[in-house]
Amino acid sequence: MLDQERTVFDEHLAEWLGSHRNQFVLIKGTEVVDFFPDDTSALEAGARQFGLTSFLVRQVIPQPVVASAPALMLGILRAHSSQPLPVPGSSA
Amino acid sequence: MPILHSHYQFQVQAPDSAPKPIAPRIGLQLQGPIVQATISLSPTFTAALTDRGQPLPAPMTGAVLIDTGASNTCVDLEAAKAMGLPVIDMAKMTSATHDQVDCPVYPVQIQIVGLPLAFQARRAFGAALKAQGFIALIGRDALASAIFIYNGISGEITLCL
Repeated sequence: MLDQERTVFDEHLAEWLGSHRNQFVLIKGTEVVDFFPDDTSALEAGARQFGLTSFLVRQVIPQPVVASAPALMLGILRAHSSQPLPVPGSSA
Repeated sequence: MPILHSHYQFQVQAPDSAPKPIAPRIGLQLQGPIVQATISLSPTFTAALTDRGQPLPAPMTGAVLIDTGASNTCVDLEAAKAMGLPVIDMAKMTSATHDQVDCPVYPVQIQIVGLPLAFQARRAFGAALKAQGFIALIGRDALASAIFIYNGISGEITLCL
């Protein structure tokens, strides 16, 4: 998904780090639409032009942000104990 | 400043007996800080779509976990697809079994049901959450604008924006 847009970003990143560092770029297909000072204005511009179709909004920074959600990735968001639960009013 | 204060009440169903309440602190430990919330498209997007006369994706309501271990807010992939949310990037997430996995990124708002408490997550990661019973995780990106108190002793949470 967004393969064309990501390719355009990767091909231009080194150049843009000199001219648009920390700005947000809006790309649709192979077209570089514009650069914006923040993600809100980039998203708004993309929504106005392209509606609900997908487009790329990404900050021009050297390393991409990598997310981490350990409990999700380990499948333990709901980790239930195998031990008996203490019930109010019951003796230990 | 809107405040959510929840005192958790849970029950356990033991074999051959009626449901019994468990201590709130135990319930909160087992279930985690869960809230009912509604996912919708980011207001940044909806204003532009409204100006275009384009219909908005229908919101979805369900269980949302406040996950201080998650760096970013996540939305369930199936829910995002069913709502027709637009993908605005593909980003990496660390995985337990692989180095990194690609995830679609969605611009969303997460509104606590019944309260004027709304988190803006303009870069929420798509992840398979449905099997674990959630439609979203509220991560530290959204919590960066909030105060969150986890009271494990009394089985309560407090959240304010």
